[in-house]
Amino acid sequence: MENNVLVLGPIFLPFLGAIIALIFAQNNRLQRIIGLVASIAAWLTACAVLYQNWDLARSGQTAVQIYRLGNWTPPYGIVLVADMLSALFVVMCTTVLVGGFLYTLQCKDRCITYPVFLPAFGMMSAAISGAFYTGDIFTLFVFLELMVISSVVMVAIADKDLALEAAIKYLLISAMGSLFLLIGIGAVYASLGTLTMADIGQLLETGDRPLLARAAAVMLTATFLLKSAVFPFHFWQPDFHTTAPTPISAMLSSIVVKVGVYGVIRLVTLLYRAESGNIGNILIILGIIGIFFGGLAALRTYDAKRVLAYSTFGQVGFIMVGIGWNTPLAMMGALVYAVNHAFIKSALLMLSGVVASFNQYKSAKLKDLVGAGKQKIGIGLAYFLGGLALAGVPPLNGFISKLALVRGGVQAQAWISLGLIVGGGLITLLYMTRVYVLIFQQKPTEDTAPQKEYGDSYLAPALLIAICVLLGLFSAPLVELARLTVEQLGDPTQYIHSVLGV
Amino acid sequence: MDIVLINIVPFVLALLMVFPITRQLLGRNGLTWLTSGAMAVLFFWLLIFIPQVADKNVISHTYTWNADLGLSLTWYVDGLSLMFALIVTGVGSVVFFYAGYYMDDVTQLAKFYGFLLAFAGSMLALVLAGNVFMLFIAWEGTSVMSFLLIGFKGDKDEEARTSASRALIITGGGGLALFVGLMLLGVAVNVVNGVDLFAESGFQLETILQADVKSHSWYQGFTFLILLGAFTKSAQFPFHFWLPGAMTAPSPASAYLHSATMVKAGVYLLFRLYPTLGKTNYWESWLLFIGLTTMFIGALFAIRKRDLKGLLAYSTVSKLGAIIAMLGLPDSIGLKAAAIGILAHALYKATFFLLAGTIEHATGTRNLDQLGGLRRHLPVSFYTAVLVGLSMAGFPPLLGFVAKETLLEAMLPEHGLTLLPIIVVTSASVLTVLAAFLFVWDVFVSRADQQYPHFHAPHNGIHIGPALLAVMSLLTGIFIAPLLESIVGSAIGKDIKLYLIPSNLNPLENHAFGLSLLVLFAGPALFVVRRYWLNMPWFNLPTGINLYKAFIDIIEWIGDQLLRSQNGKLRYYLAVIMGVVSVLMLIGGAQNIHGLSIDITANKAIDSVKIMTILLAIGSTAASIFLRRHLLAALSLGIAGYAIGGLFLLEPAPDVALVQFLVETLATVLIILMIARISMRQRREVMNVLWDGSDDTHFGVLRDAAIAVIIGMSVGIFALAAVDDRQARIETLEQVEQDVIDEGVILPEIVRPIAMWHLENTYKETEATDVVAAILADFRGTDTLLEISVFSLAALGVMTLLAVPKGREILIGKNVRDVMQSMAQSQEIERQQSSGNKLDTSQMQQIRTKTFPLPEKPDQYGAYGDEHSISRLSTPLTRMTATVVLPFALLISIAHVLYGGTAPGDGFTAGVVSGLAIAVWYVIFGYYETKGRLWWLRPGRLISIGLVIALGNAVLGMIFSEGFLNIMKLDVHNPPAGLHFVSTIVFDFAIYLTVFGGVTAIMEAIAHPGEEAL
Repeated sequence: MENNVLVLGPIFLPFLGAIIALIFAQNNRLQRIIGLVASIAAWLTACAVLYQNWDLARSGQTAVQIYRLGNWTPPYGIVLVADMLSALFVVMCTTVLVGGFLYTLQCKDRCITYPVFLPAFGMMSAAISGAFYTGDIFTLFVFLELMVISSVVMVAIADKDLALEAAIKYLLISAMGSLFLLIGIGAVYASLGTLTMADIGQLLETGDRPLLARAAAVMLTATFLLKSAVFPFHFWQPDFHTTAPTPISAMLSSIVVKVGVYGVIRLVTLLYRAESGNIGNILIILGIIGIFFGGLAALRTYDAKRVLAYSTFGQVGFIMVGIGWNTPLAMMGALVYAVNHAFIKSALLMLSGVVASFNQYKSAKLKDLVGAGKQKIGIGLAYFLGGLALAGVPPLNGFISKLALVRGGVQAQAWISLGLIVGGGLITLLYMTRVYVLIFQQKPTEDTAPQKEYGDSYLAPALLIAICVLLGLFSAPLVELARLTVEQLGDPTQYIHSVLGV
Repeated sequence: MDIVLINIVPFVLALLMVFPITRQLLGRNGLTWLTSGAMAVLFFWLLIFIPQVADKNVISHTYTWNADLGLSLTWYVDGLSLMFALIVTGVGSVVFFYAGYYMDDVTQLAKFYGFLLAFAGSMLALVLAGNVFMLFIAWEGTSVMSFLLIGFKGDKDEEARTSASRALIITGGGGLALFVGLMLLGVAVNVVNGVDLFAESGFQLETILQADVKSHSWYQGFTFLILLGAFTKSAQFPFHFWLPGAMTAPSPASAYLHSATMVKAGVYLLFRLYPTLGKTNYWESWLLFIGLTTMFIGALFAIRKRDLKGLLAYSTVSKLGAIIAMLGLPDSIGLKAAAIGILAHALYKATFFLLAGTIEHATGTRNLDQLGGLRRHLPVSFYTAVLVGLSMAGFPPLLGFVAKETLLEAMLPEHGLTLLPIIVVTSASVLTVLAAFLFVWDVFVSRADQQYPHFHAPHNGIHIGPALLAVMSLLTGIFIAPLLESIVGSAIGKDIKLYLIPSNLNPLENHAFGLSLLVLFAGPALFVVRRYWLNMPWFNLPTGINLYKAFIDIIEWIGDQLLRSQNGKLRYYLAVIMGVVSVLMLIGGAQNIHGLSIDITANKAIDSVKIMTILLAIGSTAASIFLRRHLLAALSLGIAGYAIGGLFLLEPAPDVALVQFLVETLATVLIILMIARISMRQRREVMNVLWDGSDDTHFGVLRDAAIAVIIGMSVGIFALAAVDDRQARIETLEQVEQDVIDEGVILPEIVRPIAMWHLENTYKETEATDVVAAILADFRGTDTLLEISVFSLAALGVMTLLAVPKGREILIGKNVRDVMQSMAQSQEIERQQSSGNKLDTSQMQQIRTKTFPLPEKPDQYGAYGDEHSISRLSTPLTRMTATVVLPFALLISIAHVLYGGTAPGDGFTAGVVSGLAIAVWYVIFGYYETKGRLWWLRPGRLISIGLVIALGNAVLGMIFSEGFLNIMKLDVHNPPAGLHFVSTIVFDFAIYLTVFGGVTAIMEAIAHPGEEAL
């Protein structure tokens, strides 16, 4: 299979942007523009890759694009693999990232003026795309490290006092996760002698392979659950996602958690197909706990961004349950859910940030935001639509996710878990109306009435909300992509053969 | 096609309302006429469909929306849809016209119209939906618009906000139940019909209406869920409480949504699904029970309400209950009564709400106790009220009379019912009569001398709408046969006869007529004597609102408890995470690992030196836990690292050992420097915040120890199993290869571990003799490229972080003179502020741009005249050593880079070596002298140059060689000193620069004397 140079784009264009931004450390304005340009370029290449795959998949061909780094034949070197799944996820991420960089253009946070901020942001973008594209499990580990360190840097230097504490906690917990992953990889390598995921999947499927590699599944699952902040690996998440600067918290809560989701999907569909039943049960149980834990905590927490962070905790639960059911429709539902949630959540977090940026203390605490959005009709409308989308109200994209997921549940005949997740969906409505009413309907108090004249621009979240609306009204392309993806996931030989060229 | 257009019109108009230009162009009157005119046009347009529908023709249009999900948009018109659509457009037209005179502010009016139009569109879509998904979508749409309209005055009214959310939660929750119910129904239909489970046709109304699902085993389940949806939407007991709460909406919205249309959505759904789900005991008992209960409770509450709209709301609840109950009657006997009831109620109740709006608009109150005598002030409203009041009470010749007549007839025990329903219905009807009398009398007639100091006569146009509806009540009553027969007939799907005056007027033979007469006498009679009983002390019926509040309280309480788990202590977080992983390991790993025989002696390369080293590593690790002084703990951790390095050396793996030693040295130096910089007190504080240092109970220690042991043992087993595994694999492999040689079988190359391939092919492929170096810089060059990014980002992060807290300038990319300059500026600002000058932003800016005189050269100690910065270690001997060490370190580094492909050492080790030399400088010379003497050393720039070279090298490989990061071989024959000029040297050099820059950056940040020196 030929190398497809486009696959490099989503990873190395932001990477290049980060380096250029580092060179122009003195000119913050220029840094921001470089970041945006690089992210748009990455987005374009990501779209091109997905389009090529889509085209191939529709005509029934093998829809996998690969790039062998250093031109070493797998499994001896590192290979980037853009199959339907990774191409779809990278498009989702790069789209949201363009939104994030667009937000930084007009963001008034002080930390964005620090020279290291935009390079770190660029590195994070590269790392996210890389984690999806890499076909090598050790390179996945390295990309995850890059993702962790760049996000830790950006949160640690954030304007809020608590940010450093949150960053340290995340760094330490994440180091724990890295250790698990490393042990898992070590075990896999020791018993199979390979690091290429296609190779691992093939070796574990065929033949009487050593059991050690299977035990490593525990370690890998734990790592990915930690990355997605699934119960009980979630403790770092609310602090970390809340104290981050707005554009970053929007990325963390929408796409960075999806890296773990992606990892789990790879585990159950490629690496550990034989174990997918056991892993699935764990996912369903932890996911449902997460739905209720996250939802109820979001209902009672005190900060507008924190509500959304806890909400992510719950929403990831929905996705995990879908993966856990592991029928074609359920997996399709999980994919659609993951993509839609990324757009909704990033937009909502940015909108909260915009409202908070007008606040005289620049705080997102609910008591400081009472009635803060009363005069901001456009922001209010966008937030309202986003809230409804999150709660799964038609005809917005969140409804499509829920519909797809519920159909998956019906197909899986998992009645108890289906009932629980539908019931859990009501909690979303509760906390979103609570926050919406408080910020956008209530009369400002004496404390919250004085507002700054200038705040962050709401262009980026408005665009993301527009995507949410469009993905609701015109849901067919995304659902078709998800269906094709699931078809490909159901036939791992496509992936394996394209990579190994057998 | 027409029908789709009809449905789209309201949405288009709603969209128009979003733009300010619409209201600026049209003004109040324009808006009013546009919206109500459009609704009237739609009404007459729909009338055209009557003949078609009366012939039992069904009009339907389908558009595929999302084939993969089985979503399609289908419009479906039969008699039932048409009847509801006519109500939506007809009442809509009147309400829109009325609202134009009701709302004072044009901006608010446009917003209100926007919401109402969006609602009208959703409601039309709901009743015209031919696909249960479309029905559900429209259903949710009406709930959302209802939320917005109830909370329309939310900024002023706390109650409006809570009622709006409550209504949304109740109807939204019911919507979820409905969603699952419909989904299961669709599955059942498909099972029964034997079609593909998720075919697009599965959720079409046509399919569902023809399916026989009553015998399906899920019947009770999905019926219950669907009923739940309908009951919440139509405000049935015990969910009825949201409707009285919804009265905070502006009156036109109440008239439209909360009496005429939206609350009938539940009724519509049950009506619609009656052929599929109805006529079973399960269905009938639920509907009769809930419907009759709601009817009675609603009527009872209505007469006690002194709030005008509250009274109307409860009476609406009562009427909805009656309709639901009629749908629960056996053999379709209630359908006719239900249809007429829906029409009659829409006509009279909407009018009442509009009148209530007029009254509130004029007098500023809706409290019955503060009203009275309005006959003089609002004569038109009075006559309208009398007319609709009579219809509500059920006096001939109004439509309400026919409705009550048919209702009583349907409930008669002659159809095999017990006596209870007829008793309930009769008494509720009596109470309804009373409610109508109360409204008309207390508002318009009693207390004729009531004064209204703030009376504000409304525009005359406001009376037109209600009067029109009232006249319609009269006309449809008198000319019932020609006007309604075809509509009602086609709605319930059979030919019927409608008449105003029953043929048999003997009350003893025609029981319904007799009961009707009884009601008409008992009602006024009770009204006359009401002062003797109506104000008696009353009991409070337990209602759903208490349940709802309790529910909310409970989940909020749970939420609070859950939040307490987020206690901020890293120790517990890690304990939970590792605890869960150890449990998973025990469950998941144990069954897989057992059976694996672990033989430590299998690895023959065990000797006493190795055992000693291992013991040293374990001992010093343990010591690092028990040592209370941080410095000693750090040192013993360093020793453990060195011991592991020693193990590598013994293996022998000199490359890895070298890296391990250097990294350990670097890490230990960094930790010690940081410990020196941070005071003990600060460290303790941080420990308390993050770690919970205060709570060293026995249990805590034991728990942590247990988790550590389990994790440690698991990892240990992993490692041992790995060793064992590898041995077994190599043996198998050798065996297989032997077989290959013996029998000539060709084995796919893939089975061999990639390490063997690397060992065999490295020199051939890369001309490097050092396999580790080749893997790092070549085979897995991408990993290295990423790792140096991680490293430099971490270094830059540390640098920024240490520079940030006091708002100091950030050092990246600045030379020492700039740094000094900005420090001098900060000093100046601080000096001025401490002397009491308040500086504003522009003054600050001024100082920031000012240039301060700096000493030309560092003085003999290197510091710019500042004794704090002189290190205690700065003696002539150490200064000399440090000066000598640096060039040597740089030379060693260059050697590492150049010979990376053939000998131990590579770009990374080179960078660490150079960085350590710089560290020595910072320790010996202090910050300022080092910065001054090594002016050329700018860590930020080193990092960026390194990264540029690394990436450039990778890209050049793509352009001139075989791909991204591919090595380029420069064709140099007989290279000097055994060097191979391949692009890995360039890459190694880039790694060197980056790592060197990173280490220097961290050192610089740590060595910076901090605020106290300034």
